[in-house]
Amino acid sequence: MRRTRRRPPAVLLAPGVLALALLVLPLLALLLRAPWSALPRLLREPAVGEALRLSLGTAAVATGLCVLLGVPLAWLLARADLPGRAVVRALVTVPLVLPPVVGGVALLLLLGRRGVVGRPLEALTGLTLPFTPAAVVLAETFVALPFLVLAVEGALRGADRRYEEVAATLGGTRWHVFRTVTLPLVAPGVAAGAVLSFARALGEFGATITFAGSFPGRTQTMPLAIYLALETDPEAAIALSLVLLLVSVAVLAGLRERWTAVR
Amino acid sequence: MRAELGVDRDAFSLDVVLDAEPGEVLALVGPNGAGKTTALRALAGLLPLTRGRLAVGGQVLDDPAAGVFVPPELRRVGLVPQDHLLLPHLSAVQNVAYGLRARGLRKPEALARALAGLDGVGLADRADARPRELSGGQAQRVALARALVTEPALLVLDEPLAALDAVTRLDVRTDLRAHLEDFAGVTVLVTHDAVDALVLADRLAVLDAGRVVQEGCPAEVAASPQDDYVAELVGLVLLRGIGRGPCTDLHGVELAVPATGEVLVAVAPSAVGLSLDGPGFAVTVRGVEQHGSSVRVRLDGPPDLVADVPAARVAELGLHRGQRVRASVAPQDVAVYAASTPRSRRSLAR
Amino acid sequence: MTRGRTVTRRRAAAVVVVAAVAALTGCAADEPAGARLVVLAAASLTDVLPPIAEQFERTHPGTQVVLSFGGSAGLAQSVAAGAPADVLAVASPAALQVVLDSGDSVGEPVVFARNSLEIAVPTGNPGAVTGLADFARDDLDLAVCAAQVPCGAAAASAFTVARVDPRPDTLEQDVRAVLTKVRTGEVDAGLVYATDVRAAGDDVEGVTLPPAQRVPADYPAVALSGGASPDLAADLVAALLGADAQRELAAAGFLPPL
Repeated sequence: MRRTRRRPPAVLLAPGVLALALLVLPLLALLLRAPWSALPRLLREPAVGEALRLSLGTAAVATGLCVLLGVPLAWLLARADLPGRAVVRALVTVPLVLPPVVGGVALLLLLGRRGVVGRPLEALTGLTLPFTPAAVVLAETFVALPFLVLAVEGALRGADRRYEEVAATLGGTRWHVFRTVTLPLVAPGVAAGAVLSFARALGEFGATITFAGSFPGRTQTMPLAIYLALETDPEAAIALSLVLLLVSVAVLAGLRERWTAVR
Repeated sequence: MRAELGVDRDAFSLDVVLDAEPGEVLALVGPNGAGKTTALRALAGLLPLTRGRLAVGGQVLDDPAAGVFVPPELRRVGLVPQDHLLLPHLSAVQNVAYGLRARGLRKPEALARALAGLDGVGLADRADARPRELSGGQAQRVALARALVTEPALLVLDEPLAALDAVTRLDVRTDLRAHLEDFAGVTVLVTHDAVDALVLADRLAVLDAGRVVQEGCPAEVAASPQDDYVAELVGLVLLRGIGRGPCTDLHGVELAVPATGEVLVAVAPSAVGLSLDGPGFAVTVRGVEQHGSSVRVRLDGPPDLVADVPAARVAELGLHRGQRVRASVAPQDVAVYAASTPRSRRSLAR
Repeated sequence: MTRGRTVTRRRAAAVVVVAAVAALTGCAADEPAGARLVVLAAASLTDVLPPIAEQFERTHPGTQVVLSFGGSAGLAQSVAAGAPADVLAVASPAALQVVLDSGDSVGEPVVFARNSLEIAVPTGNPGAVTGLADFARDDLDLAVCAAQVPCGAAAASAFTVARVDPRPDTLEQDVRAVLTKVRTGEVDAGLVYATDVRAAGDDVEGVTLPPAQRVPADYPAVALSGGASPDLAADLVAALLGADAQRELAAAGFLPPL
């Protein structure tokens, strides 16, 4: 039999290529217009390093929180007899459709100094969240969590439950089975969800600036620094965007490598 | 084991009573949808009983009336699932050790016992292989070792050979037979394969529509099937007749076998003789097909019959569809026995 | 959030992806015929420009004025990047420079108003703020504009004059964001413009500064060459100096041009 490479149908090929162009061309323009000569100087600037460290740090903590809280929530959605499951799932997806700025306002109304929880919290402990790195983490977690929950819930629904049943007949308690069977089976889903969450947290702008404010070294993440740089020095803004882009790509590629190596 | 299993699920209800002694292999056979899987899940604790009571080795595992339900992880039930279901992220030996680890055994000891278990099924050399690196037969044997190593009081096998090809099946079946003979607990084997059931089981329970329609040792069941499904399983044609003293009336055809009341008549297709104008009764040829080394001829009666005749005889008679021929059965080649009333057999009182 | 915030967020994307600017700054092309003037204006003009625009539409029948508000620097950059607009009105002459340099302006910029700094505090003044010196207090949550935006530059001058080393908790991207933080009570004080205190109504109270610390900021406007009707645009810029417009501006707390 003659083997030939079959061309994909044009109906799929054309929009597919267009989609790729839409995703890649703006980035290409960014690379094209980037002030490459200024890049080394910018990278050495302490303010840039500060913003980058803050961004990576808060996004990493936010991703950790997402996994820690999101995997159990996904399990409840996929496996438990949850009353009003459809409503709960809809609530989980709300931050996806909410403009991030609105999310920031909502967080303020809950945890701000005059917030529903924030006010008693300050009265009892003297702690206030806004204008702290913790607020940045919280804002990032708020917008990133749905990505993880949806990815993991999808993986859980796709996983063959009979493995868990067999493990149960072998003497595994539900928690033991979750750790030793369920989690390894959905690990790719958790990894995908974590990558999405990290990416979303790293790019977070609206909720952060509204809820956490913007102060260099404390709450001013890379996207905020880029936005501010646009006011006076668009070239610097492009350069900063490039730095964020390169670092995110490097981190995501690195994580992927690790996960695929484990699998 | 005494299992009075009553389960209601949607439109289906299961009501069966199964008894088995330690060391005994009980096969649940029946067509798809008969309730075999439901019974199996109830035994393993994956499905709680709606009514009835399940006790294994003197321990009550499920008794809804008394509010008792022992979850699967606390039952001493070993399950060998269909498609083996070895955990894909663990090696063969880790799979076998899983139950031991889950029950709190320390890792080195669990692995040592698991390795011994693998050795028992002849796969010690494949200990570090991942499930996807094992052949179907090997994976099934690992699954058996995984269930046996926890020393269950009840071993439940769900179509253990269904996923295997014919040659592998023969090997694994022979192995399985040996392992089941050594196993001290109760074995329940779910299968729709007659040969598996006949070779492996000490006793058969035939399920249909959620009820046990026949129960007995394989030879008994095979010799006097109570329904068409079992008859077909064992290669017999089952006819319903009425005993009239010295003779049996088969839809107007008199058979010289003494019987009284409603009876079942099991006929082996090879015992049916065909001729153009010989003795016997008139039937019409409905179909002719190759069957093993002979030819299977389906006949419209009454009574409807199946005859296995040599190919040469088919040519000699010039058999074709729609042809009228005469069929005869020697009285010594049929089994006539009383029909039990299945629905009144040992089913659960609601 | 304020309208200003929405527009400025759009702008971030617009500068990066120049091609998208026309679509994003949002002047639908299928409006009915008649002259349309697109005015890009500083966020602090959000409340005062609409009545002035209506006035202009009344005196110029058939003309429709479309207003879009944002941070001054960003607006100027989007104009330089080709955003179609007729008039640009910003909160600092420095912000206008990029447009003058790129040759997108027609005629000379005209200073039509001035704004002075004022401290905004939440109603009741929970932090008991009395002047710029309180911006050095660690026990208060304080917001000022980032140094990169005009209100931040003005704030820095004010602190220099007052000899205060400020300890803010957040450096906001524009003056409206500072005001929002004060309105929601997240900060005890923010340094904003006098007009912002008026615009916020009952939500905030103003703490006026000594004249030397007010750092008046000039508001220049200029007609743009990229617009469809430069003459009409020049009329609108001139109208900003007219008696009606100046009355509205004064009512909103602006000082007249020098």
